[in-house]
Amino acid sequence: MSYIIGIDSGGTFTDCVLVDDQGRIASDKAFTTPQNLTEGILQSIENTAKARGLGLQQVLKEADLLAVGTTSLLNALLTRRGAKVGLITTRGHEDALVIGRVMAKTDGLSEAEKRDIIAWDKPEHLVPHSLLRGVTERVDYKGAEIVALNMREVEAAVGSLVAQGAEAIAISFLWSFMNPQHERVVKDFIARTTPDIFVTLSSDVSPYLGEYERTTTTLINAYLGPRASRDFASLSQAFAARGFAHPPFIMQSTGGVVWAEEAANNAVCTLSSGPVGGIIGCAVLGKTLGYQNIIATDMGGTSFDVGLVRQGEVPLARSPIYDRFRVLIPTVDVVSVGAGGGSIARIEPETGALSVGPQSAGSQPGPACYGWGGLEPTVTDADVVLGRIDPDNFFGGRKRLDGARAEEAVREKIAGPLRMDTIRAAKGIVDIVDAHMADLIRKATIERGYDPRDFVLLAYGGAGPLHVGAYARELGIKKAIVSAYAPVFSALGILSSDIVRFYAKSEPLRMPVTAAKLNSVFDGLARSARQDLERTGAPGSVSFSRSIDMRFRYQTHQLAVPVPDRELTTEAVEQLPNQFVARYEETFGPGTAFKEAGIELVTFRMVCRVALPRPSLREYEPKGPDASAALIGRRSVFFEDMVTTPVYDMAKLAAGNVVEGPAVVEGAATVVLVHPGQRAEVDRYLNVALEVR
Amino acid sequence: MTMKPIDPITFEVLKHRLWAITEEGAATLRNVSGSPTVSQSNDCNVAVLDASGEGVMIGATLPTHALSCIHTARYALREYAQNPGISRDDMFLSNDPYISTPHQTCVVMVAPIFGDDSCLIAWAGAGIHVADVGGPTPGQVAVGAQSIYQEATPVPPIKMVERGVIRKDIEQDYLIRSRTRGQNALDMRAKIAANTTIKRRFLEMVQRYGADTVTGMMEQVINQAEARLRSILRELPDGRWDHTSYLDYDDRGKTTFYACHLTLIKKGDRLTFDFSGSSPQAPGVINCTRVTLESSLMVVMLALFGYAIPLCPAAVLRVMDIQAPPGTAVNCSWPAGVSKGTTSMSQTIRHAATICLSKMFAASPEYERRVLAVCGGQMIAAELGGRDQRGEPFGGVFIDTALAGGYGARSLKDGVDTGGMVGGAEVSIPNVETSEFRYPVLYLYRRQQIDTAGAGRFRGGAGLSLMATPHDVDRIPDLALHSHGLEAPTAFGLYGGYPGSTNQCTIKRKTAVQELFKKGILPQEPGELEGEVETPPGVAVSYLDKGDIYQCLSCGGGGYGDPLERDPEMVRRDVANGIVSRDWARRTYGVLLDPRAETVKQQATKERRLNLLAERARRATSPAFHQPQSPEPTGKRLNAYLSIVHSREGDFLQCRCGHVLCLAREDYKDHAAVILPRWSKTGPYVMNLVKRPEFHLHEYYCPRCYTLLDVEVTGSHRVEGVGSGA
Repeated sequence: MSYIIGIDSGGTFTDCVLVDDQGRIASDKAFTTPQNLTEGILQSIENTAKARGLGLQQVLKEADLLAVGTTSLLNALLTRRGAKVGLITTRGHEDALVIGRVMAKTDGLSEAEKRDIIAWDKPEHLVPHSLLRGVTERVDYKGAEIVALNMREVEAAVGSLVAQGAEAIAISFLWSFMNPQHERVVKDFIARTTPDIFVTLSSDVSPYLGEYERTTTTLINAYLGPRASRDFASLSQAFAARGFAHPPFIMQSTGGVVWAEEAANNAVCTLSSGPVGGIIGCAVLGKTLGYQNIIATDMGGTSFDVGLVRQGEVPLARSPIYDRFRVLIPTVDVVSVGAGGGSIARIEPETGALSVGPQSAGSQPGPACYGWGGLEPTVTDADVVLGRIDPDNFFGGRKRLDGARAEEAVREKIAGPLRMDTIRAAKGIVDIVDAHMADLIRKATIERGYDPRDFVLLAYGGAGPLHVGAYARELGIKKAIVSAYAPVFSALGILSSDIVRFYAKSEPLRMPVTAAKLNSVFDGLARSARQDLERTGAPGSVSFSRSIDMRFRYQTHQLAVPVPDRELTTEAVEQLPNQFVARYEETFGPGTAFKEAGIELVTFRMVCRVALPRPSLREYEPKGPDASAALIGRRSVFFEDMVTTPVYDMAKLAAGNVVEGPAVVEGAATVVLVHPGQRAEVDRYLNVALEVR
Repeated sequence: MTMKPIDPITFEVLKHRLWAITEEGAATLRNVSGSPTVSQSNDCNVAVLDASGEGVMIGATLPTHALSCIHTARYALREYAQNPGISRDDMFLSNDPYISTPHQTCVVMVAPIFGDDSCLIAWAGAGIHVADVGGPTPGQVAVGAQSIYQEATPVPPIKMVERGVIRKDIEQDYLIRSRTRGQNALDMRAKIAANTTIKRRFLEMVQRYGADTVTGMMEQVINQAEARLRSILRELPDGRWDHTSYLDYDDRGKTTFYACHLTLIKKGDRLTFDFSGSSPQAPGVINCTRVTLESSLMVVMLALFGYAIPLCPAAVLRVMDIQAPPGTAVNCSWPAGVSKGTTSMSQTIRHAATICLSKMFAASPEYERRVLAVCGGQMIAAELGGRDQRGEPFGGVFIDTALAGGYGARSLKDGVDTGGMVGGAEVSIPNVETSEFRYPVLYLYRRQQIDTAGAGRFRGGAGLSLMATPHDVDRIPDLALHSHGLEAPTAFGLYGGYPGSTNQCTIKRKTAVQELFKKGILPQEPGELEGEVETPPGVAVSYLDKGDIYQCLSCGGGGYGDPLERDPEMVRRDVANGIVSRDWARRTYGVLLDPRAETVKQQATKERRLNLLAERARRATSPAFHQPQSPEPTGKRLNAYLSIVHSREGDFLQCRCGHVLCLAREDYKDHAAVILPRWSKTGPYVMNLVKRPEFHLHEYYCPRCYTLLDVEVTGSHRVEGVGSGA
């Protein structure tokens, strides 16, 4: 037997999906261990293996592929627990970060905050002023050296940064993407003198025009690099020690995976790996089920993430913002708020208003009902009080929850001060978190000009299926699908991902250009791609795609024009302007193209994709609507009032079964709540399709 | 129109949709435009107007362009209904400052949107700042113009697109006057594309929900915003607040100060902006037309009330009255020139409006957190023209300093360093790399400038400075300098906060900068280079040769509150971060630090601050006032320092220390302790610049506790110390 393993290590839970060569899927989860990523991951694999009657070592020995996504780096950024970073930059341009092109004052703010001019502020940056060094050097727009690199200053800068305890150094010089020589000299110097320090170059991480965004990207990479190196190395070692014969893959924000060693050097590309895995999973599932437009919603323990699949494609953001920082790397578009099962409900002392999140109890101490010392009431506690979660059957029955503690926390901290009964207070907590999630979906759709009602909603993550009935209804969405593997859906997406590597070079040119020139630029990219393939191996079929970012002269915005993956002929190059104009008018409307301005070619891009083995979902014959065989009991659940509600076992539901609300469908690590008036039908892949009313 | 009730969910969806449509229109405009000032700085905007041309929703970039669309559509409706007529798929272009835009280089296009039954249901509009539309001087400013006849000839609203097709003859007429025809042609197509996008999305919405629902929704958006605004105004105390801001304009070697005198009267749920007493119009360049006056006030209103209402100009207009005598610099009459319309008197108006509205907020403890000192002050910019490093004609601008001045201080926190102008959430400056790719220049540095922030309990934001030299060309033949705020501070503070620094510009000729580069030296100050220093006037035409250095500093934001009340730890952090020098930390804030700025010397700071208070007492003239017996609080106040108390003898104004300054109806400044300090007190970057006898810095103190109550720049007018209840 051989296996493929997908892991998604989130803020609270680490999920594991195991697919064997017959297409059979096993899955389970374990608590994330923030102090030591590896522990929770191994535990999740062990739990999953156990479900199949196997041991951890046996599965790892026989596994062909193991891919991991993790939010640990994003959490480190959000909680400012990265390395002490020094920045070396071009003298005279040290303030590029704090100036932040002025727009740093609103980047990353919510729409409401953006309208409140009193709320505007630039974020405190990841590098303090005392660890910022400008050194004398200058390269111009052509890549020509204007002022030589002053090595004395480099030595002094590196020496003082090391003396001040810098654990990582980011190097970002003006125009380094045109001529990376100065950056490389500094890197070599550090490698000779202080080999243990983590160094990252802007010309490697983000070889694009724009020093503010490029420097920010580089800085974040350095801030998280040491942690990524540590975490990924110990992960690889732990797997190898237990018999796994290959290096593991790490999921990237770009929508593909790369080997762990590569990922350690590009921590900034790993920030949204978990959420992106889920969206890739949605696109794959959408293809199977025939849905082109999908809103992907993932409610876990600490955060709620939303992404879109439009016309079957996963849109990339050009310049995503993490926290308050704008970076320059291609990234699958995901938006996020701090709303999850672990979100803490509290009463604002000044106003007496009830608020939920963004603070989370995480997995340690966790919600009050975990009995691990948490005293603050969370969304999960509220769900327990409302009877929506069965304390005796949480987490597949492996974790018993303490209903009394949940009730006590809600009563003491919320109901008492607000002078309302405990159950109404719990309902208030859930209503608020549901509204927060609906607002975020609005932001991701309506505010981008899409109507959420034109989409199918996919709910996954441990807590998503419990809440989807409410937030889908609030948005007027008619159909919500809960995957058969909802609790571990991102992990499924991660193991469905291909190896994807992006290669790019900014080299501004103006038409007309010769085919030879373009071919030489692409040859350079292809060479890098081939080198990486040779170095790392290609466990699957390799495909390349190429494009050129083009624009009219005077513009700064560019449009990607795809070109064939082969040597360009003179005829093909002559066709480029027409292709560009056609694409341009398609995007901006007929008559908007202005050929007389001249056409520029700016950034050359190449994407290398290595197709990895992909599990095919098993289909089941419909058995008719009667779900009574799966009925396992009844209990009181609070909707608008207490209602005696039938409880179904998800594992016993067959394709074609129909469940009318109110109902609770309990799975191994998730609960689908079917509100009164709603209706759930099990499809051929055992997904639960919810008709929302 | 009879309005059908719309269910709240549909309303919410459509309102968001309208917002998303403006966002998408703005993105299209940015993407297609040929101006880096647009795609990099967002110097553009879009609007959706109702059938009568009222602004329902505008984009989040610079509001002015969108407001110009409103004026243009209104004009077309009023004048063109019969001839040349308004038809489906027409678009009108205008840059006429007496009808549409603040100045000739702002060019807008508006497009009527018709429903199925050929009924006009809305307008789309888009505006862009373009590099050059002709006239004697390259760029926007017609240096030395004595009337609009010596500036670029305006284009009144013309039908540029007729039934979906660009009129070639009319396009030729529009483009021929420009030095940057290619760029202007592309910018025009950007506006057409943005309007087309907005129209398409809008009509999709109409298709799905029906024209009545959509137009009803727009009316409801305006009504709701208006109701919200009125309820806020009713919660604020009635009163009268005034402010005078000044514009220094160097016209052919002679500087004149133009006063913008604003009295804001708030009564119930209405605001009256009265500009009586403002200076007569200038012959050219700096004036503001009536439409620009309205736009300027709207910009401030939308910014300060943006937390509560959407970007809905129509709602704001409904609560405002504007009174301004014709023939003044704030409401000029033909043929006064206006070519610098966006960055001259219109900014002065914004400053005065920001201060007066802030004083209104300060009178209410609930609204005090909305107080904002002046952001950015007057702008400093220079336009460049000639042939670029590739030998092709170009027009560009050092826009960084103009858009990255210091933000004003707030009542609870500092202004944002290099935070820019009031409002404009998405305004940004280009990367240095973008500017260097576009223009034949090399930046020696671009940084936040130390000691530019207006001092205060909460300080203003620091300003930006840059130094650049021509690169890969022998000469940049056109350097159009146009700045104000060089000769007097324009970023005013509030309640004891000092104004930010003044703008500064220096050119150093014939330096050996290229040789220094070869020697491995990257100069960071003009002083590191030998050469002839020129300190050009605010508005001038110049050039840059290879080896010349251009240096420019933009002003910091105004401060809030008495600087001696600033937390010494915050001062220490400013010193450590290079925002305040040790010298000015001691002089202005009375804070002394250890040599590495790691700790505050607590005792020395305490003593220094006591000494500074004692010095205030020694230097100030201190009038006495009869103290009434057992005054009681009334709940009314001017600001955080001064409140109104009641005793048997009447209502009085009392400092928070308990001292009664005067009768409530009197001007407290007549009863405050006063010092007229040297200008150098505000910081190193106003020193030696203000030499004018008619201008003074006034400091007003409480005669008992010597808290600094106000710092004022006094010229032809003195700002009254009155407020709510007056």
